[in-house]
Amino acid sequence: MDAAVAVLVGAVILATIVSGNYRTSLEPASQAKVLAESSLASLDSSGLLSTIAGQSDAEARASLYGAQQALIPGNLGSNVTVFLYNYTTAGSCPASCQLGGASPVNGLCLCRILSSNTTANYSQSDAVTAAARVFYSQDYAYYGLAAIEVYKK
Amino acid sequence: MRRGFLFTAIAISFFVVLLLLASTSSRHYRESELEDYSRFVRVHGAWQDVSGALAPLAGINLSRNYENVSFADALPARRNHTLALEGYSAFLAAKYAPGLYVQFLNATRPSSLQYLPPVFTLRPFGINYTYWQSSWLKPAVIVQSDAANYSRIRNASLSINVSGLWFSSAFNGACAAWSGYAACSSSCFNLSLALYDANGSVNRSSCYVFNPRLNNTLKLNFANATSGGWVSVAVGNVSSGNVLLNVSWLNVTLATSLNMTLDTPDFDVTMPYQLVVQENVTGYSKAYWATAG
Repeated sequence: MDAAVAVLVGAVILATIVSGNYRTSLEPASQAKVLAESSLASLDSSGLLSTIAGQSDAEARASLYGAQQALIPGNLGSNVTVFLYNYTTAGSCPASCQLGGASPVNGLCLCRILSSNTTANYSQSDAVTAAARVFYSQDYAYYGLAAIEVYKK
Repeated sequence: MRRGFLFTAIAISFFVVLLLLASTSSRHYRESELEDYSRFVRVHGAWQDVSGALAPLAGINLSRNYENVSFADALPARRNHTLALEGYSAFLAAKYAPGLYVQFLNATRPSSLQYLPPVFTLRPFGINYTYWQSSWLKPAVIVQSDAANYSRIRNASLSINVSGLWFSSAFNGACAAWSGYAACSSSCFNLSLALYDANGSVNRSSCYVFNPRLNNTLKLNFANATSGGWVSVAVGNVSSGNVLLNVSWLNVTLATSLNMTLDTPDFDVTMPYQLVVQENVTGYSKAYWATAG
């Protein structure tokens, strides 16, 4: 009888330890990281990142939002921001590309910032991971940097 | 009875401690694996990311699927591609992921991207899509291939769209219209050619089987009310060696689309320099021929 109780206690302790160690601390972050990287890769390879360079801010936001809805699972939120730069060897930035100032920094002028988020009810501390990707829009000669943050409630 | 209970409890405790150690060790091993995987994803993703912009920077719409590869190009260069590449180098240096070293290598020496030549190579066949004198100004399209690799291209199709001018005479698509032409009996190169002018008129060559060891050339004149120019398509060129296709022109603006079907899907479109991406902290890296598509 005592031995049976001891075995039962041991089994409960063992199950507690094993279940507590089964999932490693990195796994959720890794999954979100892969999701963030692959989502940006999809936005790039589909041509959407290059396309939004020619859209109005509202159109670009709608395009990004639709893509986020399609790519990011419903239990997660995401915030996508696209920075578009122009490169110049002149001493000043063109009038349409002076978001970062009138003088180019390293030859780069910031022309537009486009963003969309599906994280209305999320707080900053909910962010799980972030990723970034570069692209070139040959139609508009923009260098683009797309950044994504993935959030979990 | 009590001694038996104590003995069992101690034995189970030891067993539990042993399992706890094994479980902790397993967790550390798994975390280490995940860190390696995350590093791989980061470096490999960055390598593909940086490499992926090369074709648009060169002004080419490059696509490949299964056995087909297609180069859609605008000629001569309508943008300053050297400046675009210089800007990309500056952009990567200033804005790309912190903690990553990104560098293009010409042979084994670091080089700024704008100094590297515009050569798209179909590896492992050594078939090159490039420009006359490897110039970013795109003065003429050249497809080079070692004769031993002609047969790796099953078929090729070339369409040339001429802007602002139209055909100045009736088109003769017969083989007799090609200078230097002789019938081919073995190791032939199949090229279907279509030409479009500014009026939307299309002319297709009815001659499409060529001997790549000969210089087969078709020259066509175009004109409008005030100016004129010509387009020349040469298939095979013994004198220049290893030239399979040469598209040249004068006073004409072109949009071309060259599609090649290869005899295997196992090929890459690379550029003749290596792209190195390395994590600064761990030294984990990937170095390989820059892949353009």
